[in-house]
Amino acid sequence: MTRTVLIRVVSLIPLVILASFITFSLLQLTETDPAIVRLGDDATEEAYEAFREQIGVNDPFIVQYGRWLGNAATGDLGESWNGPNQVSKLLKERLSVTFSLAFGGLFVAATIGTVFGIAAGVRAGRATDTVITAAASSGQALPNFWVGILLVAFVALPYDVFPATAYTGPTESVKDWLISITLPSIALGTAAAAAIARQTRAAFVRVLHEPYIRTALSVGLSRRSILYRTALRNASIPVVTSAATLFGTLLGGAVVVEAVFAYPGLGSLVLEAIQNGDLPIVLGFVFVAAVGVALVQLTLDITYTIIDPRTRVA
Amino acid sequence: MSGPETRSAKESPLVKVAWGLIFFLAGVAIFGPWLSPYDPNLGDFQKLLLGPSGDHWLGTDNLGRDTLTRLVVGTRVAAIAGLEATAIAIAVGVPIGITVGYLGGMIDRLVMRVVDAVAAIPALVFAIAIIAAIGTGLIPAMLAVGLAFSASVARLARGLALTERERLYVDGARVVGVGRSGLLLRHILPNIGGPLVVIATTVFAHAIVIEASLSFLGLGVQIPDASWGSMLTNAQRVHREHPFQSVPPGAAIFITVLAINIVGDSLLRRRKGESFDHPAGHLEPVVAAPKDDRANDADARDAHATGASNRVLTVRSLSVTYPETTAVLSADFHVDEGEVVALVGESGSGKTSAVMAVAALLTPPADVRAAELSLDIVGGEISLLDMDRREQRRWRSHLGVVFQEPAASLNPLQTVGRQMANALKRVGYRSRREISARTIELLTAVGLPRPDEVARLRPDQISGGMAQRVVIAQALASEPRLLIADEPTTALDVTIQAEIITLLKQLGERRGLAVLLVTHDLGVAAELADRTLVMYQGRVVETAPMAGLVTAPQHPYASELLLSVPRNVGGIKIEPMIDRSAALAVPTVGCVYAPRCEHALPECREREPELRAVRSHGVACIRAEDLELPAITAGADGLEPGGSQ
Repeated sequence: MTRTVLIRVVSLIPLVILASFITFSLLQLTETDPAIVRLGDDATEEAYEAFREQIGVNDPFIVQYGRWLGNAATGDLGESWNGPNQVSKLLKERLSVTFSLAFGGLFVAATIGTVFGIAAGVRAGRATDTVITAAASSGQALPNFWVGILLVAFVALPYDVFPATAYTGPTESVKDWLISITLPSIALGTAAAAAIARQTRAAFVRVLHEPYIRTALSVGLSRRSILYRTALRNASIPVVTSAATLFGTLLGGAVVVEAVFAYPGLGSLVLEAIQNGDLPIVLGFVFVAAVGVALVQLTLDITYTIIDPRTRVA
Repeated sequence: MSGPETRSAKESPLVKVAWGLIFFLAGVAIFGPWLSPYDPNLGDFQKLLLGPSGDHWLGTDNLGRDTLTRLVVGTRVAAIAGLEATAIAIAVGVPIGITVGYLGGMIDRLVMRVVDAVAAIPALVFAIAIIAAIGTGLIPAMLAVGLAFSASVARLARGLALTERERLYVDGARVVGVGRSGLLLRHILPNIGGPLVVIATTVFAHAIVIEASLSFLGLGVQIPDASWGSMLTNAQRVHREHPFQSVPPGAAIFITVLAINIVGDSLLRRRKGESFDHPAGHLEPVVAAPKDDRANDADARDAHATGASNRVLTVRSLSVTYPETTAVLSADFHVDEGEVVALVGESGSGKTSAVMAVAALLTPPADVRAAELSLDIVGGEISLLDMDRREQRRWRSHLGVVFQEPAASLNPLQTVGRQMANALKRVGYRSRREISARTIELLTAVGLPRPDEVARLRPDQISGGMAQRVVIAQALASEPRLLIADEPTTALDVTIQAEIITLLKQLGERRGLAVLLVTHDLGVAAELADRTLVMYQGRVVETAPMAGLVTAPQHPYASELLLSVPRNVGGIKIEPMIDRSAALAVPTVGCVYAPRCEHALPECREREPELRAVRSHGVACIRAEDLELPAITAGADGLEPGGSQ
């Protein structure tokens, strides 16, 4: 088991490095001059050149990337072009908001999605199934930020329970934090819950057609036992597998939803950075997102080896 | 595969509505902006934030611009966004996927790593990075989305190319001398179309949502231009007083994406061809219905009364029909205690349907009817007819079933011991010690060495032969009177086949089990069976003691079946000797075997023969008395099951 986990960890590292390399290369396409970003339009050419030299953008591409990666390994994501701020520090301040929402969304999606997915799966072919499947198909088409806007307009503003704009960090008050992430998490999680419900239901149906279900029936296992032991565990495998991709979608969605609620997350930092041409922040943002997805992937991989012993490395 | 007409005819009304909506939206995207009487970007400051009215069907926005007009312009933006992103995803993903899939090796591994890395970055985050590098606007935004999704397209294309490559290699098409690129185009592109359309709908729907998200954030379509996303940005500024403003653009996104998803789902269902019309699968087997068969009732009761007192299973006039075919037609058979009865016939003859109907394991759309379907158990007789699903459990507890695919018949996630325990708990074993003792006992009984070790293993850790022994052990858990074995050796190696046959034979003898065996392997039948039923096209055409059948078959099909067994070769598979082409379609009148029968007379095509007694066999042939059919001489070297090769 330990070995399985280690192998997974080791295999994710090159993936994250490669993702950062791709982003780093893409950002080379920019025509933005970091010297102008920092020093404005009316500094001298010498000052510009000195700044470029100082931050190393005159070095060959591969040297620049090597330096960035080396620093990133120690948790240093470089300096902002716009001011003398550490990118990692800027990101860290905003990280909790975006990741709170993404995990909140995942929580909403996973609980609602699996409950309804199972409800549809165990009653496959009956009215409950038809209703849930129809609702899930529709729910999947709901854009998260629109749900957010509607929640603000029709829930947060008219009733004084949930804040429309004020984010509270978990370190200040856990209760207020939970209240402040409730609506955004619902906004984010709705479409994802629909996706999980559909997936769970489909996995169930597929499993119910497997020969081992027939065997279970023939040896006299009860319907209940077949559904909730045999089928549920087998059906959970594809759902767990795809949850990491879903988390990526939620992380991207969190950037938009936090804009709806005007929460100070990574989204507003990056939007500002794009306006200013502050590319190190954008690079740091993509890197953090990729690491976040990779860590969730890792957690799920481990969960997966617990559910499905076949995937364990001996 | 049916033609496109019949397929679209089966399409649900919802899918048709969705298609209609997509065509309507496409029309709006193309012509809409010209038809609207208002300028989408020019506001009337006398008419700010109006509600819906005759002049402005969806009202006006915070700058007095007509909402419907902006919505129409937004439709065009969404269409462009979807088309651009989808086109880029396909144009980039397909060539990469096909090329690396076809070339394989180092390049494949390298490129796929890059593809994995791109896929690890959330599409929206990736799009934000590209916009940061090359600037805001609809076109760069959709370039970004297209590139992000090209990763999943590349994966798909690679998978298809790999499959195709394997196939070509097998076909030896390379040897024929078609160039590599020619091969790629000719063989891969036609096959990739279907899956590509499905994935394209997904990309299209995602692209619309991401375009709206980016425009909402100010990274896509720029103010004052209208897009569904930028309209929501405007709406949000005033939503405290005018919440309705957010409804039209959001609803437009929702409806469009929903229509695309519905169409995409229907395309996917069509491609996969597995509609799962009966989603409960094996869980809800069909209930056997009684057949009104008064004509035979009287004789049957007599037969039953005078029949052997150790009768275990009685089946009278069993029919299994599917919407388009009849799998079994009015089959009669019975099995006595300690007796092995084999059902033989080529594939498609209905033998499996017959025994699965007895086991109450057939699933819809099968329709099972019988005049009698009963088991004699201690304390009386029980009938399967009209039993509801709960009672069927009791029925099944009196019989054990062994399936064709042992590996697939066991739950892949549970150890053998756990699965045995589940079966034993069902029949009243409670304590852990009892269960494990009985498990060891049963696993030993089916000839598994070191049963305690086997109990700790999962199905993927044991061989097919071992798995079949475990399935047999499970079937014995409830101490059934009848064992049903459906092609128990077909999926196994020849040497293992012989072992399993020996095991079944021993179990039958030692435990006095009645065994109902389905096989297409006459060697297996000859080794095990006391009596044999020969089935053809769902009909029992001959029934006789095994020895009698081998030495003196009375039905021309039984004779053909025997002669198709190559001598001196064990583990024989009966393949249909003649291709069942249109000319050999099952006739609706007369003997079903007549089209294939060399002895057929004109009368054979007029009336379907009934099973009747001829020289102590049951035969369904009007010419049985006057035919001298070739047979295998007893004691010949053939018919040895398993590995005499």
